[in-house]
Formats: sequence, C-alpha cells, structure tokens
Amino acid sequence: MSQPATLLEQRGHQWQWSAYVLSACFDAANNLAFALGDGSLRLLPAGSQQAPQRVEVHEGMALSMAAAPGEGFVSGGDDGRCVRVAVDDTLHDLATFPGRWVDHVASHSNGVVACSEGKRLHLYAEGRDEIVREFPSTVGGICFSPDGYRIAVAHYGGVTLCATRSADATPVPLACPGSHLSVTWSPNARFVLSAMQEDCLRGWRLEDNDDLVMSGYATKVKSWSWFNGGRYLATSGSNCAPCWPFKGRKGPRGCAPETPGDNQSALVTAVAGDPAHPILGIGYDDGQVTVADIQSGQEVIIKPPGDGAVTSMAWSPNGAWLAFGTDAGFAGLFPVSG
Amino acid sequence: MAKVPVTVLTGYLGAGKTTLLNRILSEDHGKRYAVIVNEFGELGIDNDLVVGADEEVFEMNNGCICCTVRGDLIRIISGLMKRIERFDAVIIETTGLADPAPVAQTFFVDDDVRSKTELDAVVTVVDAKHLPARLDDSPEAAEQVAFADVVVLNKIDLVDADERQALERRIRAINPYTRIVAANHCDIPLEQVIGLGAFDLERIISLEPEFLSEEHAHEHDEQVKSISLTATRPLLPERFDRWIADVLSIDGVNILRCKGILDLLGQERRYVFQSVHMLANGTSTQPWQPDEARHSRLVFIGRDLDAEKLQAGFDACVAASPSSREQA
Repeated sequence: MSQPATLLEQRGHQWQWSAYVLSACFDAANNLAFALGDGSLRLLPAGSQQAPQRVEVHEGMALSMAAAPGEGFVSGGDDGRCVRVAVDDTLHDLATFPGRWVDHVASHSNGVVACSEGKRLHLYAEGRDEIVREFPSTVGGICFSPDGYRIAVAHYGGVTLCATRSADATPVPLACPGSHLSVTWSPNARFVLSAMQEDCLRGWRLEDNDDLVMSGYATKVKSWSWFNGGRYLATSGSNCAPCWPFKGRKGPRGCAPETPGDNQSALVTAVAGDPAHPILGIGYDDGQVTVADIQSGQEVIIKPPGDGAVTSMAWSPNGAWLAFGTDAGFAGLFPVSG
Repeated sequence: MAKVPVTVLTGYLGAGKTTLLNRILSEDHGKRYAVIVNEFGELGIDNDLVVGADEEVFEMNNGCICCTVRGDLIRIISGLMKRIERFDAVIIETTGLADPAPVAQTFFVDDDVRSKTELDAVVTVVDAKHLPARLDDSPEAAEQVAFADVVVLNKIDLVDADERQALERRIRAINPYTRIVAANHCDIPLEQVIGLGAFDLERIISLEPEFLSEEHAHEHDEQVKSISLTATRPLLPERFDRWIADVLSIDGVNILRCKGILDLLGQERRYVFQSVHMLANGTSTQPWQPDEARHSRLVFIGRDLDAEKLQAGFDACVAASPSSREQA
C-alpha cells in the first residue's frame, strides 16, 4: 500500500537533486534560489510553474548565498569567486580571489554587497571604491545593520561593527572571548547577536553595550530567523526551536524563550519565520519539516522524516512561501499564506 | 555513512613532509584525497583537491585551559563534507613548528567535524640525521614525536646502524607505542601512513606491538617522556574512572597523550582508553580469551610527569585481593 501523500506533495513542490543544498534564499521580489554543493544555483522566478533552472556558477561548491540588492542573488564559492546571479541566469563576477574561499556574502537594499575570504571583508557599491578590512582571524559571519550604514563582522574574540561607506571610520569592537561563527542584527537595530562555537548565543544591546548570553543549546546554532515583525528570533540547535522575545527595550533578558517544535527524537537544524506573523517553519536533522503557530501552539507536519537533514530554510518576503533544502539534495517549496 | 579518515602530517621543515605529500598526491592509488596545506609550495596537484589553511588555534571556553582547536580546520572540513564528491581521506599538513594537539583536539571537540570525519593517525616525518639535535634544542620536535602514531625515519641512509639504533631507542623513550618506519625520500608504502585507524579504539591493540613490550632504557633525560604502568590484577572500574578523570583534569596540560588497555573487575571485555590532553574516550572491545593472561597497561606521554604519584594512584585502583575476580 502506498503512503498517503504528504502536505508538501499535496500542496507544494518538491525536487530531488544530487548535491547538498547549502542555502535556500528569496530575493526582495520573491524569486527563489537554492545554492548547491556542486557549485550550481537552482533559480525559480516568482510565480513560475516550471522546475527550478540549473545555473552553473562555481567550479567547486557554493559556500554562501544572499539576495542581491533589488533582484537576483549573490553567491560565494570555494573557487574564490563572488558572483552576482540575475534571475534571467546571467552571471556577473563581482570579485575573484584565486586560491581562496569566499565564505560569506551579504547585501543591503541600498546597493552595497559584502563578501569575506579568510580574514578580509570586502565591500562593493556602485560608483565607489572597494573597501577592504582585515580582521585578526577568519571572518565567521557578516550582517548589515537594518539601515545599511554599518556591517557586523563575527570573528575570534567578538564582533566588530564597521561603517559600510567609509574606510576611515573607526570600527566598534564588541569583545567576547571565543570563536564567533555568525552574526545577526535585530530588525529594530538595537541588538547584535552572535552564535558561538560553544553552543550558545551572545548578544549586545548597542545603546549601552549591555550583554546577553543565551545558552542551553545541544549543538551550535547554525540557523536563525527574525519573524513576526522582528519580535522574535527563532533559532536552531536544540530539540525545539527556541524563539527569543525582542519585544521590549530589554530584549530577552529575564525572559524564557517560546519553544515550538518540541521533538524528542530529532534536532532542529533550520528555521525560517513569517516576516509579519508569529508563524515559524522548523526543519529537523531527520528531514521532518513542521510549520508552527507560536501563538495558538498549533503545529502541522508538512513533510515527514526522510530525504536527509534539513540544512536551510527561507520564508518569502511576501509571506506566501516556505522553501527548504536538505543535505541529501532534496528541496521543497510550500505555500504558507492563509 | 562511513566517516572520512583524516591523517595529520607533522614534522620539521626539511624533514621530508612535502616529499611525502607529493607522493600521496602523485601516486597512482586510485583514491581521491583532500589535502589541507599551509603553503601550496612545490606540490604537484593532479586528481586531488588541495586547500590552503591558516593555522588559527582557538581556545575553547569550556573551562579547560589546554583545550585548543584549529578554527580554520572546522571551517574547511565542514565545507569539504558538503561537496558533491566524496573523499577517500583527508590529509592535513601542519607547519614545522606546530603543536599537534589542537589539530587532534579538533576531532574530539567539534560536533560537525566529529560527525563526518575521524582522526586516523598522526604521522610525524623526521630527518634521521638531524633528529637528535632537534630533540635537544626544541620542545616542538619532542611533542611531534610524542603525538605520533607513526614516525617516518626519513633519510635513513645518512645514518649508520648504531646511530639508527640509538635513534629508535630515543624515540621509544618518548613514545613507546609509535610505529617507526625507516625511509629514504619517504619511499614507504602509503598504506603505512594512510588508513591506519590509530585513534580507533577497536584497533589500538593490533596496531601497536611495541605497546606491550617492556620499558626501554633511557639514555637521555628527555623533557617529554613516557611512563608505563601495569597491573596483573583487575582494576576497580569506578575507582579507575575517578582517578583518571582527576589526573587528566589536574595534569592534562602536561599529559600529551595517554593510552591504555585495561582489565576491569567484572568485565569480560578489554577496556581501551585514550586521551589527548584533557579530552578522553574509552570503550570495551574484544573479550579476553580464557587461556590469556589478563593484565592492564596504561601509558602516559608528557612533560614533567610525576612517575611515583601516577604509579601510586594507579596501584590504588587495583582490586584488593588476587581472588577478587573469582568472587565478582
């Protein structure tokens, strides 16, 4: 007897590819791209009924991907290239670093694109000279401030905030011993948080440098997502998806997180939340994908376990779609509006 | 999915590391390796993938001061494991002066690295002619020998039989369970350096015949040396656990490596134990045979080890009377 169709099969789309899905990402116009371990991107323009189109981008593998300013995507690879990929699949090399890995890319709607290779951060904006900054150790992650005037850079020993338009401005250090692997900036611009090698988050309230520690994770936090108007930060790295409240001035200090998606047999490996509503997509290391309403507590499994561990997840800016991929090359797109 | 074995290659500048790497890369072995190097230098790259690394040694905030890891390796290995092709092995070259501990500890500490790869062996290439001088003038040379599962005694033609014997004795005084392989231009079969499973607890016994031999005479007063402890009566499991945890947490900075095959009271299987500084693991392996003399052996390799204190602590773990096994 055949298995009953999953919600994903009934209502969404799914694909099976031959390489690790590193990243799923929507641009501001709701176009979707997946970055794969074979160096290709799979592009799906908004509203398309076709299968995603394969675009060969990197020689080795794609290491990171972000939405490009406006439309399209920026991708960094272990071939040392930082490439802008348009939705019509034309490629434009932004920078090449022979023999290096482009570990991280990020962009802001104001037109600035950032990438890092090893210890160096590179900032590109049309009509301006490239800005290069070197850090004492390899850059773990980068994230623009909501206004795009600054960029947070995670590295060993803390996070550094740098101006994006001037090479002269003095960077602001947020020191904390240990290895910082990624960084995110709260949508209200008041908090910067980093994920650490030691299975915890560190945070700083920028107005007074008051610092936060969020611990209790089972493993490193590799996926996080601001959702519900920036009121929550959802995180991976546990048997549930801890969602830290950032509603008030104090942030999560003294507050317990919401804990949707509790699952005794699997770890949460990827999260993505609805930008405007308290609804969260949760992916597990056994391949299950759940959508949870953290207000009502209602949870729906849209994909049962199988097909590899969920590695990446994204919610479209218009709130309509949840996309995800796994380490076994499985990818799904699920309609979440309504 | 089977974990990808990782070989760590250490050795002083000029000892022959690059020669060995070039052999690994150029030989027709039908395997696909990923090689993580410090400098691309004179490497011939053919079928394999060569990645440049910056040796970034990080302290872990886990309350263990000697627990350092290689941050760059975590990043590179996590990346390699996402590529579409599978590698038969990963080989990590360290710089001449590097301490092998952070590399080894990376494979104990990081979840991502541990889930996809496993440390196979530390291979140290030494120059037979110059090793005595290096051991005298640099602590790093002794540490590299102390950590080695295999010492490649390269340029062996440059020393005579007496020198060679003295050299092997000296290496064994530092590290009694290393395997010594003599070579010229690193002309040794690759299966003697890759795919050894030296960190695999199941294979520790079969791989190290020297481990069970008696203590070697010490000609030099080495800074780094080994202490070998034995017992013919079974050990009390709980007491041993408590003692070894104490020893490693207090002296783990100075204990580079520790390995043991133990006869625990009431257990029919050998208990095999190993550590790198403070990070340890142990497991029960093959059962003792009925006709086999049971015994426990534990070897510490390190700096400034207090032999009497270790011996006393170990002796206190031994079950009280010879008849205790029958009673258990």
